[in-house]
Formats: sequence, structure tokens, C-alpha cells
Amino acid sequence: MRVSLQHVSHDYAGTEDSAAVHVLDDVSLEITSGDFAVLMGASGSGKSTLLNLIGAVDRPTSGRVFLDQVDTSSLSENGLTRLRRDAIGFVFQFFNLIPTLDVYENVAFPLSLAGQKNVRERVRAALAEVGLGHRETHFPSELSGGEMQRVAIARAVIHRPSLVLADEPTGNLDSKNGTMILDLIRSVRQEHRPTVIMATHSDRAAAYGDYVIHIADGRIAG
Amino acid sequence: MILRALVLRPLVREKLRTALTVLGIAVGVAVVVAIQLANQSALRAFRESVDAVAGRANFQVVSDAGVISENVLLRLRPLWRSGGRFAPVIDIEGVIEPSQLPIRLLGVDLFSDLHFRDYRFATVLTSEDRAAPPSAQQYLELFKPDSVVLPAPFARQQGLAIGSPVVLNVNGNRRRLIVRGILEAHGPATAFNGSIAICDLATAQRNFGMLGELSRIDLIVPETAAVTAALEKLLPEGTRVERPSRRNERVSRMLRAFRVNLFALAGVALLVGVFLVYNTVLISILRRRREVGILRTLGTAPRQIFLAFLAEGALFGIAGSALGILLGNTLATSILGLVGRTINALYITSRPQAVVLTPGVIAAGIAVGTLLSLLSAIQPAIEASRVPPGVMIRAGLQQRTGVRGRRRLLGVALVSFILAVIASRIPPTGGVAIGGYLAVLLVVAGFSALAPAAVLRTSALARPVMRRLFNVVGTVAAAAVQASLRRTSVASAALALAIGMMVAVALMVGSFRETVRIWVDQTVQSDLWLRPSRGLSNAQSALFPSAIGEEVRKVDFVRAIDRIRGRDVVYEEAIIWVGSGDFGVGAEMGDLPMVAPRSADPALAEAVARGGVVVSESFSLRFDKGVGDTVELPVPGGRRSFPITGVYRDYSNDRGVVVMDRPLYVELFRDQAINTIVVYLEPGVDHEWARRRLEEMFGPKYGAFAISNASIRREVMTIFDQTFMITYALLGVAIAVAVLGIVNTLSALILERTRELALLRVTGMSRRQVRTMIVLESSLIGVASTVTGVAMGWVLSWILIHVINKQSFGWTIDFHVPAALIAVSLAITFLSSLAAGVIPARLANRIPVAAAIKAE
Repeated sequence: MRVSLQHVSHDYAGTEDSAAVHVLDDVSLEITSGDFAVLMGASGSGKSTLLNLIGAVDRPTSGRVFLDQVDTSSLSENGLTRLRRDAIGFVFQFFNLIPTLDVYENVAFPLSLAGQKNVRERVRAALAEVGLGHRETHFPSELSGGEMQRVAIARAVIHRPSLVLADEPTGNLDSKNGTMILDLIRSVRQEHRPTVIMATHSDRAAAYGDYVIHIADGRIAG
Repeated sequence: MILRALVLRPLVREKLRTALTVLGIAVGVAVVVAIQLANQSALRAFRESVDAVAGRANFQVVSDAGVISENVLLRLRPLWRSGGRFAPVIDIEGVIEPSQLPIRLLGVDLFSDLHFRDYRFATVLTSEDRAAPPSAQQYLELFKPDSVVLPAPFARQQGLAIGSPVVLNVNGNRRRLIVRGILEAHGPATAFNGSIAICDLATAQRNFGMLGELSRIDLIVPETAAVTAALEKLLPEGTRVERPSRRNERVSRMLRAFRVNLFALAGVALLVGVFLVYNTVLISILRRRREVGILRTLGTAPRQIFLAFLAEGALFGIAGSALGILLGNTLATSILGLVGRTINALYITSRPQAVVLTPGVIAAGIAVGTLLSLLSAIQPAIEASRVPPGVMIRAGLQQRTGVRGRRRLLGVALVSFILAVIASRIPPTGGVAIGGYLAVLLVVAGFSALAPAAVLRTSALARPVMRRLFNVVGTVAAAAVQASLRRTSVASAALALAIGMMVAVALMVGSFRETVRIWVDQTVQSDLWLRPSRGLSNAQSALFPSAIGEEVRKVDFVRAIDRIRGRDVVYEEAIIWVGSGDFGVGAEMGDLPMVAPRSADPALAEAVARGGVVVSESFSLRFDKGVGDTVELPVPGGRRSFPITGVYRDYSNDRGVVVMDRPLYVELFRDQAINTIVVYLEPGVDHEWARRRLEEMFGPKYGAFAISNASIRREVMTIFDQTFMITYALLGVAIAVAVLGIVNTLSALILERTRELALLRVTGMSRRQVRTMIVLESSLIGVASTVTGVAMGWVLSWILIHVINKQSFGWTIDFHVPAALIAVSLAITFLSSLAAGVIPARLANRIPVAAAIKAE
């Protein structure tokens, strides 16, 4: 999936006790289909917001976001939902597994949302791929951080998305588990060729990508 | 999978919360089901009795005055040709002596009545040998002037057999009859729970002062318009033809106001239950915001989220309803006695037996519980569906209610109050105060909308005080209540509703009780009452003959007597009470509390002079009649108009009462019997001595009991308290449910604030301080709810007293504040809200600090 941002700005609206915050300021960028792009920047630089806009989680205050030919800012809420469901996979820093579902159910969730078939075989295969076939019936609270993130990766790619977004996927892991996760992401990419965009502030993680986009204070720094 | 993630698994995991919510709904549904069942059972008992006694008759000739002349039978002769059959019937209430049990006397023509009613003789005369059927000769014995037939179970209960004497007191005549037949429990023998005595028509007429008179004539006639039209023409003035079921309809209508009021009270319990569901679903949404956010990010549609939470409401509803129906069935059995007693005391003699769970009741229970739960889940579910994807990334932004939201709520409150004022002016529909109930709902809605403002105001006011008393812990507690206003105000609204209902009911019952007490003091000014039975509730069926009046009057220490007598009469398709008394004595000795004119004396004097009547306030309101109007009543043989010369207060009867001077009553209704003799003693006579003397003098001959003024008053208040027992019970339920709601909410608040509480602990707050803080928070909510609740209760009690009671029962109630009752109830609710804080406070102590902070 090709990702293209044109003059995208984003503000968080002010409330009664806080002023508006300008998070992104006139960002334009182009990510070719199949690329593994890395977003780097300090905390609060706007990486996560940028990922949210690309992932059709949020709409920009101004500017346009294209996923392939589709202008996400023109999509309805339902259109965005469908886009996320069918074409995008998410990996988060805090894993964000659904605590009330077990490992199997968490991974199966995107398939069941899309009403797909052969759920059982595909989930088993995905879990085997991340090395957690034996953990099927465990709940997230019974897993280690590294295991949770592996489940999250299985969930993110189970429905063969053409875009995988990872927001600091190693930020909450030790270096051994971090490496394992990065290796997994790389192998996923080699196998299915989705576009991968990963936000991180670790140089070691950034080395896994094809190239790095630096962000500072809501702007592309180079 | 969405349902499993958001609803099913959490429900199973949080068993306590789920159980509390289901219980809340169940209690509401149970109360509704129980009242429905108990009422149904009481009414069914009556209806079955009427049907059993009516037998195969398809029409009845009746008179609104309750008595018709035997001559009417002769007029019906032409109908023989078209195949009509008639059965003259005497059907009156009496008591069996000396046990004073009420019994129904059915006098029929034993020859012809077999066409109408299905009698199965178990034994006749002395033929104890079942194998040999009784001979015709033996049947003839039944026509002896002292023969009576009893149902087998009743005879067994009373220890009576063939040949036993039995004393019946009917219409003031005590007669010793001989049991000459026993009936199988079948047909009419099952009516009135089997408390029925059957004898020949002539026996009934001769023994019980009904010579030449009948209660009604049962008919079996072809169902053609020509026949009924012909019938109408044959009947004299004052009588008419109707279906036997008309009687049931009238009784059912009479009980409607009573039923509706019970339901309104049950509605309170249900309303609190609904609040609980709203509360639970809202809290589960607030707690699962993060999960909703994840699901939304992964591509779950808003509609799917909405449906999932709606399903949560429905699940609570279905589970609660099912449990509620079971509970209600059990409850019904225990309140059946209460409802039955109330109905007996106020309306009709009916002895309800078993409670039967009908499909209709089950369906109604499920519908009420499930629909209300669904409705209450809609708003929170909409809220959940609006959670944006990615919300887990930006925590903490979404929990405040903005100034604009609060202003809008204030607007909602204002509009509700204005609408409530308008609704309270709507006149009643069919005796049911719909406008009043609507106003109650609107007031509840209005005060609920005020809850956030009340909570905010209270914490703002309390903050400096709490800071001084509890230092930083107080400040943090006040701030926390304000910060989580959304959830705290829902909890506060639920508690305020319960308190409001409690205060309202306490005020209403207290005011009513005080009004009745004053009224009884004023009305019961005589020294003694002489009655043919001990209890008040079957006072109508036991009567004195008129002769006792003269004898009591002649007693040297008696200064004056007032003879009271009355009967049910059908007026404008409603059953009212026409009573009589000695107006001269009443004016001189008594002090009838009047609505108009101010004093009773001129009203009574004018009534005597003009052949007029005084009517009760409930009659005046219900039929829109006042002083100066005339009222046309059915009397035996026709109708007659009476000028109304006064309206008096009466809390003994909500059906409407018309009272006339005794001589006029005796002349018109040809009824000399006496229900009660009110005795005024000569000055200086000791009451207790006089009471015993009168019982000695009239006890043996007339079965009279003398009752002192004080015990009459006590008896009235006992009946009053019994009647309102259901109300008190419901109130307790409502409060229990509200407290459950508080525990529920506060526990949820704690669980959600795990991280915040852990932070406070890390920064140096001790466990004790955290506990204090949480208890302070719940007491803040308690104070805010109490203030709102008391205000709400005051307004609601005004509606209950001046709109609902007035429209339903036609009673003016003076406002009295039962200070002690209210103080105690408030103390209970406040302490429970404190206690409700203790459980979550314990919960907070169990939070593993390090893990909680690391988790995010």
C-alpha cells in the first residue's frame, strides 16, 4: 500500500482548562508500497499522531492522507472503520490486547470481524509463527510482555493487511524481547510484503527499516 | 466475539457487580409480579365465587338498591313461552355464631334450582351410608323451616354433621338451624371458599326478615335481542337485567384505584432497579473505554459496540426478570394476606387462596424488566459507540462534564419541572391519576438532572471544611469527587431517587396517618360502641335487630344512642355505601368533621327537615356533587332524589358514602337492622364499668360486644398501619436497591482509579489515609444525594397528597411532617452511603502499588 500525506496538520482541540495543541504542522511525505519506513523523533514530536492519521484512526485538521488512491479524509466513519478492519494492522507500545479474550480469541478477532473463513487454521498457523502455539487458551494477564507483543503481532497480520503500523513496539520490552519482536516484524514483511511504518526512538530498532523519517516538533526534519 | 470481549467475559469476571445488578432488577420485577399475583388472586377468589353462585344463569334481574320484590317473578311469566327459566335467589352475607366467621347465605327454590346450579349431595339427613342414595322422602326434609345445607369441607372444619344445630346471624336475626344436608365441594358449594350455607328460599325469607323480598332473580333465557327487550319491558322501575359478570366488573373497577396505587409504588422499586442498570452499563462502559478503543482501532463499527452494550442491558433485564418472577411468586404468597386484608377492610369480602403464576403475569414481568433494562442501556450504549478509535492512546481527556453539558442539564431540569406543574393539573382518567404519576416521573427526571450540579456544589462547599478537618486527604477527596463527576453524579442521582421516594412516602404516610388520627379523634367522640361482632372488617355482615335499639335507650346510664346502618348500592355503575344514623343525636352529641358547610349541625338539621343527605368528600369529588346539588339513589321499588346538605370528611371508605337520617332510611329501604350502636353515657358514669354492664345485658341475647372509644381508635389505626405495610416494605426495598447501587458505583470508581490511588500511595499517602479519602468521597456523595433527595421527596409528597391521593381516593390530607420517621430514614441512608464507601476502601487497600504503576 502506498502512503501519501499532503500538507497534513493536526491540532488537539482546546478544552475549558487547556489551550489547543498543534501536534503536526504541514507534513508531506510519500511511502512507496512495500517499504519499511521508520519514524524517529523525541517524545511528543508527533510520531504517534502521524501513525494515527495514516492508520485512519483519526482525521487531520487540514491536509490530505492517501492510502493508495483513497483519500481517508473524505471517508465516512464507516468507511474508515472498514479500511482499518480490512487493510491495516496495528502493533502498539502497550500491546493493547483485549484483556477479556484469550490469546486465540485475540488473534482471531480481526478475522471474525471481517467474517472470514478457516479461522481456526489461520490462527493456529499465525500463533505457531510467533512461537506461541502452546499459549492459545491463556489470557493476556498470564503472559509476559514479550509474549503479549508477539500475540499483538500475530493479531496485526492475521488478516493479511497491506499496511502494518507499529508504534514503539519495543518501547516496553527488554532488549532480548525487543530483538525478537523486530525480527518477527522483519520476517512478516519479507513473507507478505506489506508496507510497514514503525515509530521508535531507538537507533537499533531504526536499523531494521529501509529508511528513517525524522520528526521534530511536528515537522519532517529530514 | 465483540459481545464476548465487552460483555460476557466481564460479566462473568465481575460476579459481584453482575449479581447486584441482576438482583436490583429482580427486586423491582418481583414486587410488580407479586402485587399483580396477589391482586389477581384476591379478585379471582371473588369472581369465582360470583360465578359459582351464578351457576348456569346467563342473565340476572337485579336492583341497584340490593333488594327486589318477589312480585317481579310473576311479571316474568310471559317468558316461559319462549323457553325462559327463572330462579329467585336470596344471596346475603351473615356470620356464624359464636365464631363470628363470615358466611354467605344462599336461599334458593330447592325444587327448581337444579336447572341453575349443580348440587351434589354427599349426605342428606341421617343417611350416612353412601351406598344407599337418599330417598325422595328424605329430600323433603330439606324443606323444613329450620333446614340448612352446608358444604362438606366447611362442615368438617366447624365440626358439624347431619343433625347438628348451627346459629346464623343474618340481617340482624340470630336463628338456630339444623344441618340436614352436606354438599360435595362442587359448584356453588365452592363459592366464598366454601363458607356458604344453602337453604330453601322460604326458610331464608322467614328466618332472616326478607318476607316477600329477593336479592335477585337468576335467568336462563335464549340469547336473542327480542327476549332481552321483552324482559326490559316486563320489569318494574328500579330493577334491570344484566349479565352475572357485571358484578365482577364493578368490583374490579372499585379495586382499580387501589391496584394502580400499589403498582405505582412497585414502579418506584422498578425505577430504582432501572437506575441500577443504567448505572452498571454506564460504569462498565467507562471502565471498558480502553477496550472499546482497541476494538474500534481494529475495525469494529460503532453500531457493533452499541449493540454489544445494549445486549448487556438486555441480559441484565432477562436474568433479572426471570429471577424476579420467581421471587415475586414467593413474595406474592406472603403479601397475599396483606392485600387480602386491605381489600377486605376497605372493599369486599374476598378470601384469596393460592397464588397462580399465569403466562400473562410471566410475560408482563419479563416485558417490564427487559424493556426497562434495554431502555436504560440505550443512552450509555450510544455513549460507548461514540468512543473514538485510538482512545487508549490519549487517556484522561474524556471524563469531565463540560460547563456546557451542565448548563444543558439545568435546562432539562427546568423544563421537567415546568412540565410537571402542567401534568399535575391534568384531571384523572377513569379514576386513575395519570397526570399525577406523570408529574412524579418528571420531577424525578428533573432532580436527577440536577444531580451533577448538586454534587459539584456540595464538594465545592465542603472542600475548605474538609481541608481543615482532614488536611490534604480532605482536599484530594473533594477534588476526586469533582473530577469524576460523570460517575459520581449517576450514583448520587440513584441514591437521591431512593431517598426522595423514601421521604415522599414517609411524608405522605405520616401526613395521612396524622390526618386520620385527628379525624378519628374528632369522629369517635362517643363513649362506647355496641357491635354484633368483634372485628371491624366483617362489621358489614353482622347485624343487630332493631329491637336492641329501644332496649339500650332505656338503660338508665345511657344518655343517647345513634344507630348506624348502611348497605352497598349501585350508583352510576359504581358501588357506593348508603348509610344512616340518628342525625338529631349526631348533631347534638357528635362533631362530624365537615368540608362544607363548616359546621355539621346546620347540615344535619337541614337534612332531617328536607329529607336530604350528607355525602363524604370522596363521593363529592368522584361524582362532582356538592352542597345544593341533588343525588338520585336507587331504593327498593324505584329511584329517589335527595338534596345534599353537607359534605363531610371520611377516610374509612374511598368509594363514596351517602348518609341519611335513620327514619328516612328505614322507610325507603325497609331495613330496620343495625350495624353499630353508638352509645353516649350520662356524665360521671365510669366507661369501663358501663362497657362491662352493657356486655352483660346485651351479650347473651344479641351477641353484642361493647367497645370503648379508645380501642376503636386503636383498631382504626391498626387497620391503617396494616394497609400501609406494603408501602413501608416497598420503601425498604427501594433503599436497599439504592445502597446496592452506591456500593456498585464506588467499587467501580476505585477499580478504575487503581493507578491514581497507587500514585497517591507512592507519593506517601498511607493506607489509612486512602481509606479515609474514599469514605470521605462517599459521604460527600451521601450529603449531596440527601439534600437533593429531601428536596425531591418534599415535592413528590406534595404531588402524592394533593394530586394522586385526591384524584384516586378523594381524600384531603393535611400536611404533617413525621420528623422522627424522616430523621431515622435519613440516618439509615446516610450511614449506608458511608458503609458503601467502606467496601471499596478495602478494595483500594488491596491494590499492589508497584504493579499498578508499571501497568501503564
